[in-house]
Amino acid sequence: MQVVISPVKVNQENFEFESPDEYIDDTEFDSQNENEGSNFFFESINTENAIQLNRKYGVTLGWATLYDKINDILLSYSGLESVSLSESAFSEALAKWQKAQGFNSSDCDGILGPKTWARMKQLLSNTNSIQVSPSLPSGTPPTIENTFEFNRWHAEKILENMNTGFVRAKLSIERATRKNQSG
Amino acid sequence: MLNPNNHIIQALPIIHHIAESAKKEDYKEIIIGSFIRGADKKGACTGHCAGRCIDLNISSRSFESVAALQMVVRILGYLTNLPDKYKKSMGFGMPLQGQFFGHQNLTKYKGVSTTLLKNEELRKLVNQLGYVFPDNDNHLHIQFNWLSKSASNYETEVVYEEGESYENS
Repeated sequence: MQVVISPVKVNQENFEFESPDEYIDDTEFDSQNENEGSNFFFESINTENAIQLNRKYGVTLGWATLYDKINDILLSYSGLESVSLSESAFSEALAKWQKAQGFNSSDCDGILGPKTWARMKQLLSNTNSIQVSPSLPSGTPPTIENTFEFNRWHAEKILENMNTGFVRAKLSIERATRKNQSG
Repeated sequence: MLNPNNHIIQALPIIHHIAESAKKEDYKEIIIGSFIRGADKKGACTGHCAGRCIDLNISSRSFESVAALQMVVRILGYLTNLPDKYKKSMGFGMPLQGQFFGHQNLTKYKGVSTTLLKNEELRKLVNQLGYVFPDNDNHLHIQFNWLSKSASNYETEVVYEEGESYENS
């Protein structure tokens, strides 16, 4: 068996957005969105709500460290050039970007939550080989809202145990057996 | 293919817990077998494909042995100490072999009463943790769905495909 998690790079080849079998955290769309059922997009987003949630998600999802790169993507949707967007301008530009990405109208809320971040990460990885987040603390698992880091943290812990011999993978044993048999 | 960027791989904290528990006891017989697989023939992605199952083997391979029974008892014992948030809807596929189902004529992949298990300690542990069903030989299959709030019907959770064996599990 091989653990399939890459430690840092975004794997764009295997990206499966909104697969019905996936457990994507949709909390950003569940209760906070005021536009559900509306045909309006960014013109009527709840900017204050978006700012609050973006502050939270910037930390929990780790994208705050990539703010400048995200800013560069959103600038063309803001009508501005060569500036660092204010929080409100960021949200409004993000809502336009979400619309351009084909999100449902009710999802164009200017919030860079898990679902939007999944799409944004893919775009970022197309232009840069980026590190999504800094090194993880050794003792505390990330929350499940931080999907990739949660998976990565546990996978690394498992690999540590494999490297010290406390669990093994069948594949490596089968390979070793075949190698021995073939001399 | 399961994408770790946007899909919680539920098996990881379970495997991690088992590995850490084995380390504490300096126990080195556990082998991680089949973990994540592709979608089934109908294209459905559940169970192994969704990262909600693991198969565990033993270094000596055969589950006819007392050592295999002891390993399974040990692993289930580890799972009793699993954090409560992960200890939900746990199902165990055990072979018809040896001290598990003792070669009784049972239908595979369907949940059965724990009273059919030969070993008393195993019965107690399964009763404590979840449910059991007969499975293919030479491995312990564990499935779970700790992210689901509604997963309680074990028959819908039995995901093993008929015909699979140690060789391809």
